[in-house]
Amino acid sequence: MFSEVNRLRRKITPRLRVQYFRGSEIDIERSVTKETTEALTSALQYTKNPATMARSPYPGAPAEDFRRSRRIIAEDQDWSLTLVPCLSDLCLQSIVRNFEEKPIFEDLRPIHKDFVQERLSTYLPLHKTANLISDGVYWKRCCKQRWDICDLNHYGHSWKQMFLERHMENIIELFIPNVTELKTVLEMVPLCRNYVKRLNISQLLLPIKEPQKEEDEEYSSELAIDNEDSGQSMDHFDFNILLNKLTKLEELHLVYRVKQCGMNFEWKMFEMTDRDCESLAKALMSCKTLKLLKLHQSHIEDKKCRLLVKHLLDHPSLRELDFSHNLIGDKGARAIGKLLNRSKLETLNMCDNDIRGPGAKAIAHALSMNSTLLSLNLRLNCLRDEGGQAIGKALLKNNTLLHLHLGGNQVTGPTAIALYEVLIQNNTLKSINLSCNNLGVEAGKALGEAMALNTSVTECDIRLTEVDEQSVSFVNEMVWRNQSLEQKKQAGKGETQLTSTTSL
Amino acid sequence: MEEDPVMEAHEEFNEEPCQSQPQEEEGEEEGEGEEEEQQEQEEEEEKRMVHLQRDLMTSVTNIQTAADAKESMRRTDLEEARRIRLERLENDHKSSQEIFQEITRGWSAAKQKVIPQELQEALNNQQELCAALIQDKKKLINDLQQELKVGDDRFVKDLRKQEEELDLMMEMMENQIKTLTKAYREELAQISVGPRSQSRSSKYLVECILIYKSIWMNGAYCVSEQFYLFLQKEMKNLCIKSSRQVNQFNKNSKHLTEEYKRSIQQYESIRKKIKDAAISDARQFEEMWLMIEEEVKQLRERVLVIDSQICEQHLGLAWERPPVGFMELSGPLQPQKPLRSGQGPRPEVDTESTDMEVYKGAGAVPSDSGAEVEEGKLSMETIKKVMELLCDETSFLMEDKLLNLLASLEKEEELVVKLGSILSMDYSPSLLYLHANRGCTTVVNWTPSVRSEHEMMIQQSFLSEHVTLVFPCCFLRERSASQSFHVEARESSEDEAYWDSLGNIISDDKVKLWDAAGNRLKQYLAVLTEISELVPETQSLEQQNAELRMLLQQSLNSRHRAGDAVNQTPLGIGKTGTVSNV
Repeated sequence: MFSEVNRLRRKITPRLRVQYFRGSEIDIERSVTKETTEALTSALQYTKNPATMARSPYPGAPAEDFRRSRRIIAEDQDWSLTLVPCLSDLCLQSIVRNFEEKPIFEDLRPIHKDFVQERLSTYLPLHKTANLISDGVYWKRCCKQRWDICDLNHYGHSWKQMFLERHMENIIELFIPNVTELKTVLEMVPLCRNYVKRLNISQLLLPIKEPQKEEDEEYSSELAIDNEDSGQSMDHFDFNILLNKLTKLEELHLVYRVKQCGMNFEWKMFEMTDRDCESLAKALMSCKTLKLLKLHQSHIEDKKCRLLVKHLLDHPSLRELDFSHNLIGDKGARAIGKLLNRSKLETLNMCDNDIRGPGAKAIAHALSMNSTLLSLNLRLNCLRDEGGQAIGKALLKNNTLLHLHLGGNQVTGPTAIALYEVLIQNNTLKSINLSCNNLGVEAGKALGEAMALNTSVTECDIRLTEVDEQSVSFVNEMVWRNQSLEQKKQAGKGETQLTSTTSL
Repeated sequence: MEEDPVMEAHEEFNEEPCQSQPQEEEGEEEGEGEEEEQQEQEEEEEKRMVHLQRDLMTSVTNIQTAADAKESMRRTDLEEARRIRLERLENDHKSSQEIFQEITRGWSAAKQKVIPQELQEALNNQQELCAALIQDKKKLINDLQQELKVGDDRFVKDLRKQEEELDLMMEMMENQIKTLTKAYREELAQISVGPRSQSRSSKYLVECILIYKSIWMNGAYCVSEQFYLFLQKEMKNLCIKSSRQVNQFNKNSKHLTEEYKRSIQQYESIRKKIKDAAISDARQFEEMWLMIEEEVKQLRERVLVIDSQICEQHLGLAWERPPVGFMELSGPLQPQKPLRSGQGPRPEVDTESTDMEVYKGAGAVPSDSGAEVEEGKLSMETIKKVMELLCDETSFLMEDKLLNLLASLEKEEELVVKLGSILSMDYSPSLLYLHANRGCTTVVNWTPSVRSEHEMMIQQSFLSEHVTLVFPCCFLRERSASQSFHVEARESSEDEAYWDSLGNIISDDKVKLWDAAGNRLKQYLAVLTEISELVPETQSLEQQNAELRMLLQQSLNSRHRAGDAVNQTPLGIGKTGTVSNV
């Protein structure tokens, strides 16, 4: 049936053409719209200033042109009058098409901006778009196209921020020292500067090892001074060139490691060199907006820790420091203790390091005089009772710390006794974690007694501490009681106070 | 170091519920002390949630704690092993030192030996001692290597175990999330029965204020300055809290509104597109229909003519034209045509008349006559329409402020003011608009006869009078708008019947008849051909015959004369001379 219709149609087509021909404003429309689009584009742009339109570049084509073009276009059978899009749409499409050569965005109305955002190619060069297109659908499209998982929560609910941050991270993570040109990073700086707030860098590559060449000699003589023994610098990306330029940077997560190294494993891939440490320390000092620094799994020992801390002293904005999973020992801990009272740190995470009694004593000493730190995490160190008792004593004088984690520190009864006193006297501590320590039954009972008198602790973890079940359940009950008390205090503060005063 | 991801993931996980919990409960508890029952129920619910969270959290964190303990134990073990190793090395060092000293002593003793046998003995002794020392060292090295190997194996085993633990933990976390989500859903469902928390918090605020007031009014004597201060502080706190909440809500709602607006816009544009596509489809459909119908109609005419010929001329029967009244060119079937007689030209009528014009070439009078009666009214409407369109299309030329102001006016007023402002703008120097103007006048001239002519005239006059800038699209879009109301879902069930009826104009009987007639005609034709083949032969034969007859005649004549001559022979031989003369 259909083929028959087609046949018929083909047969009749000439007539149809005649018909179209009679209504041939179609083609004129077409040519006119095509040509006017350009003009209208400028019209849209200069709506507020009609005078500029006087110099419209559009000269107007002679009428014969229409007649000539008409015959061709009229035979386009799919063409239909009703599908002529709005003039403004045509103009916007033209803007979209020519965005690379002539970016127009700011002057558009909000609705038109949305239109453009939805249609712009995501392959446009970043230097055209980064500072021009505001956060919106365009950036969402860019992100979705590049990454499968896009969790906006980590990026301040801004797609643009997400895109630029992750783009920057990618560049740094794939940066090969001495091979990648510095330009690639520096070019990005003016584009991202105003949007990058957090950098989460999950790997840093090493320079490619090559047999010694003359060119390399030049490099190393330029860069290295005390590198004669290795002959070639094995340093990672130098953050000095970047951090002081990112004026909005607040969080920096760094890991000196190589992902998926496979059988090429070398210890060098998983540690920062001395000069890395030096340059990073200077970079951190220059970054005045930094609030949070995480430096995980980077083989930081005492020497590097001290160097970093030295440059972080009196940092104007640093609030949170996280040196988890490194090799910091007592000397490093002493430096950290110094930092505690020469900064405004609120959170300190030193979990999984090698801090022992003396280091813990240094931190405890700082803690006893500190009034900013809210959370201290010393999980998986080796404080033993020497350090545990010191911390306990410090807490008797401190009344700002809210969270303390001493899990897996080989502390025993004496520390528990020290904390017993803390629990009775200190009324600010909210959570305490003593799991994986061999406290013993007696200590459990003591903690239970202390908890009965304490009203502030809403979390107390004493799992795997050789405490008998009775004490554990008692402590838990006390904790729950404190939790509900806390809730009531938060919720009905005014109410309780009101009732107490009205009874006067 | 290997288990770091676990730990980290865990920590994050640990933190989150802890943070969210108090906030939520804060909101929950706000309105306490309103209704006892509800409160109790609420508390129970809350307790349930807290317990749930607590239990689930514990079950997951247990793994972390266990891992920590294991790690801690491993470290102790390592340290212990290192201590033992160091001790052993120390001991070894000591013992080998002793042996070494003995050997040294042996050397000095050996130097003093004079007798070769003694020297030999001493040297042998030394050799034994050295061998023992080396043996010891070798053993130590061996042991240490063994230890290293064991350590390697354990590392691999640990890795595997940790992987398993990771899997377990992930599974548990997923389970927990599921359970929690379910619980929260339930709670949400309960909460959304009445939007309590918000209204209640504000109610609570108002109540507090009332209570404060009453206290202040009634017992001013017992209220100390301190209490007053306290009240003020409390009020401030509450105000801050509420304002913060309000801010939060505002932010949220703003965000959502924007999102909503965008969605609506998208929806609108898509709907518009669909509409346009539908219109164009309908038009194409209609055109196709008419085209095919026209073709079919011509075929039908031919068929009928042939039929009549067969009937009348060959069969000698009286031929009657079958009923074809319903087969006038009508366009696509419209099951329920709404009656809209006085509302301007109907599009089908329009197109039909166009087609008629095109096909018949004759200036058939279209349905204009009826419309002309109402020209005044209609032209007003059209003008209005055109004006509206003009405003819409050119509104981008106006400033936003003005548009906002106008939005509050009534529609007609708005229209007039808009037009006025648009037309009063000074565009004359703009080449662009000059051109646009030219373009549109051309368009007007070319406007197809699809539009009824008078409407076109109105448009033209309107344009030439008032308009200095109109873009061609306007007309197109207006046209589409005028037609859009007739785009609706077509019912195609009757189409088939319709086309069948067109196809079956010649009934089966007639077809048989035609076949028979055809056969007969063929036979007849065969006979005729035979006859026609025979005709020339017959003709030649006839000619021959005639010739022969003439010859015969001649011969007969001559013989007659000869007979006469024979009869006269005695009389005169000279007669033969005459014969030869003849």
